[in-house]
Amino acid sequence: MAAGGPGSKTYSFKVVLLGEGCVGKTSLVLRYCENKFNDKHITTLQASFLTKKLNITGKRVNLAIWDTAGQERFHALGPIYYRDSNGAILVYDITDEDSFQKVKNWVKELRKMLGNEISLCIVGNKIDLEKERHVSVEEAEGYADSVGAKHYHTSAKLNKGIEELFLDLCKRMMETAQAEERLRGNGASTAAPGRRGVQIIDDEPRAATAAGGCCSSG
Amino acid sequence: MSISESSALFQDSSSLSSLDEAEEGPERPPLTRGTSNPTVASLCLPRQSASALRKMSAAFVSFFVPGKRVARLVEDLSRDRRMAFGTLVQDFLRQQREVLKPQFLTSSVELLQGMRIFISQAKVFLLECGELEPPIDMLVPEDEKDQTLEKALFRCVLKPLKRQIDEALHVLHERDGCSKRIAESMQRARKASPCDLFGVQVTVPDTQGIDKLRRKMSLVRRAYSPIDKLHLLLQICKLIYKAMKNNAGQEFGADDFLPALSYVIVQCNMPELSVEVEYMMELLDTSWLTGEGGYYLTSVYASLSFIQSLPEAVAPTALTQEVRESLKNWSHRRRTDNKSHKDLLQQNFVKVVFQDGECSLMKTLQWKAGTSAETLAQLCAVKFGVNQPEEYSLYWRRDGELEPLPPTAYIQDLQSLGTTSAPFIYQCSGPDMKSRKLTRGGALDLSAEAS
Repeated sequence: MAAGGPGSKTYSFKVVLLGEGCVGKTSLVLRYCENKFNDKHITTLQASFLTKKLNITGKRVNLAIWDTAGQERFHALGPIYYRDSNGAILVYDITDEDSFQKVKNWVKELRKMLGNEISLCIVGNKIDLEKERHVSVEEAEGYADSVGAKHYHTSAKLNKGIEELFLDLCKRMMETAQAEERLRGNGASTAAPGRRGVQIIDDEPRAATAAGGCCSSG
Repeated sequence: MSISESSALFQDSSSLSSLDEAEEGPERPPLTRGTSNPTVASLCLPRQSASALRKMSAAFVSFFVPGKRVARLVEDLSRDRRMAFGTLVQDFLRQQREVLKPQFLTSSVELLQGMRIFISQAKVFLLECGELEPPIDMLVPEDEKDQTLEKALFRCVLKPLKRQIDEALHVLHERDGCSKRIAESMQRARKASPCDLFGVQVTVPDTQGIDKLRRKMSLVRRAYSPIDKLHLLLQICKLIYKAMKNNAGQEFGADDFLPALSYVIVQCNMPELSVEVEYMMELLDTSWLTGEGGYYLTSVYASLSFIQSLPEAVAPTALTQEVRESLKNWSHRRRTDNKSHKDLLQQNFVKVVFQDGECSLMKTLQWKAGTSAETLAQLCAVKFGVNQPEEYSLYWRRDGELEPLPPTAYIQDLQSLGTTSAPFIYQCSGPDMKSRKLTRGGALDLSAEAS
C-alpha cells in the first residue's frame, strides 16, 4: 500500500511509467535500476516491473516501477495500472512532438483519476539528440509548471539526469506521505485511509460495498 | 516475490503445496498437540503406497520447514472446537457452506470479500488469543510472520471450501453472463488474427508452448491458495518472456509484453482465467498486490479487459462500463483502514483471566450481541470447569480497583466503556477466595496456556 510511517519504517512507493512506444522509457528505467545501457547485455531480468531500494536521509525507500504499454490501442487500460500509484513518470522524446502531446493526455487523465495526491514527473528523454529537438524547452517546462508537475531532461544513452529524476521524485513522494501521516495523526481519521485510490468520476457517488479488504498488520 | 525466485522455488509446479493438498482428503489426522513429533502412523496406512509415501514426506517436510509446521499447527487448531480459534473458524465454515448454496448467492465480489475480511480478522485473532503453541514468534522470524499466517489461514478456510467456492463462482458468472462474454470475445479474437489485433512485435510461443501454458493455467485453477495461483501466474509470464527472447538479449517492457500476453491468453482459450484473476485480486492481501506478482496479475486483468473491449472499440478510447465499475468498487473496498478488522474483532471476543488461589488461566471467549455479564459468567463456569459457579463472579479493573461486573450489563457496553483490551477477571466472590484451590471438575479444556 501507500507509505510507511516516520522513523525506522520503510516507505514503499509505486511509480507508474507512461510514454509512447519509442520514447525510451524502458531504457530509462533499466539504466536507473541496473545502471546500464547496452543492448548487448544478456539477463533474465525484464523491464516491465522493476524495483529499487534507496536510502534517503536515513529513511529506507522501496520503489516499485510499473511499466505500461504505450501503444494507442492500449491507452484505455491506463487506470488499471495506475490505481494506488504514488508517482508517475511521463516520458516523451524531445525529437518527437507527437510523443509530447501524448504526455499531455496522460497528465489530464492522471489528475482526473488520482487528483493531486500523485507526484508527476514529465521527462524529455534523448537529450543526446539535442540537434534534432522538436519540443522546445520553454514549452515543456511551462507546461509542466502549469499542471503542477516537475520537468526533467534525460538521456538514457549518456546516463544523464536519471538519478536526479528518481531521487527528486522519491523525496516528493516522501513529503506527500509524511503530510498524510501528519493529517492522520491529527485525528483527521476520515481523511486518511487510501485517498490514493483511483477515483473514477461518476454522477452518482456510491458507498463502499464491503468494509475493507486489506490487512497488512501482523 | 519475483519471477526468478518463484521459478527457483517452484521449478516443478507439483511442489506447490496447495496443489498437493487439494488431493489430500480433509481428514488428515491432526498432529498431536504439545509434542514435537507429528503423528505419522496413520498416514502410513497403505491405500496407495505412493501416495502414502508422499504424505509421509509431506509430514516430514512440515516438521522441518517452519512455515509448513505453522500451517499444520494452525490447521489443527482451527479444527478443534474446544479452542476459541477452532470455534471461530468452524462456525465460519459452517455458515459459509450455507451461504455458498446456489439459491443464496448474490455477487462474487461480496462472497470473496466476506472471506477476505474473515481471514484478516482470524489472523489478528489467532495472534491475540495466544492459543497457538508454540507461539509463532518461536517458529518463524518476525518479517515472515504475516505471510506464514496468511498461508495458514488460506489453508484453514479456503481449502475446505474450495469445491463450493469454485461452483459458486461458476454459477454466479454463468448467471451474470461474464463467462459467456469472455468466451465469445476470446473466440472472436482468435478468428481475427490475434497477432495483428494486439500488435505483437515479438516472438510468441509456438503450439507446444501454448499447450504448456494452457497446462499451467489449469494448475492455476486447481490451487486453492491465491498465493500459489500467483506463483503459477508468474511462471506463465516467465515462459512468455522466454519465448519473446531474441538473440540480442533485449529486455522487454510492457510495450512488448502486454501484446504477447494477450496473444497467449487468447490462444490458450481458457475463459475461466478471468475468474481466477478475480479470486486472486479479492483474496490476496494488499502487500501482495503491490509487488511483482501484483504487477503481472494486473497485466492479466488489463489484458482480459482489452480482449473483452475489442468488438466495441476499433480504436478503444474508454474502458467498458463494467471495468470502470469494478475498478471503482475495488478501490473503495481497499481503502478501508486495516484497523477496522481489529475493531470488529474486539466486539466479539473477550479475554477472561480465571484466578483461583495461586493459579491463573486465561481464555478468550466468544460472545454474541446481547450477551450479559451473567451469561458470560455462566460460560466462564463451564469453560474454566468450576464446580460451584454460584461462588464465582466476573470482575474488571476500573481506575485500578477491582469491581464486580453488573450482572445485567451487556458485554458490548462494558467493552466500549472499559479499558479496552484489559481482560475480565473470573474469580471466587467469597471472602475466603484466597485459600481456595483450583477446581476443574468436568474440565472441558485444560490445555490453554497458563499465564
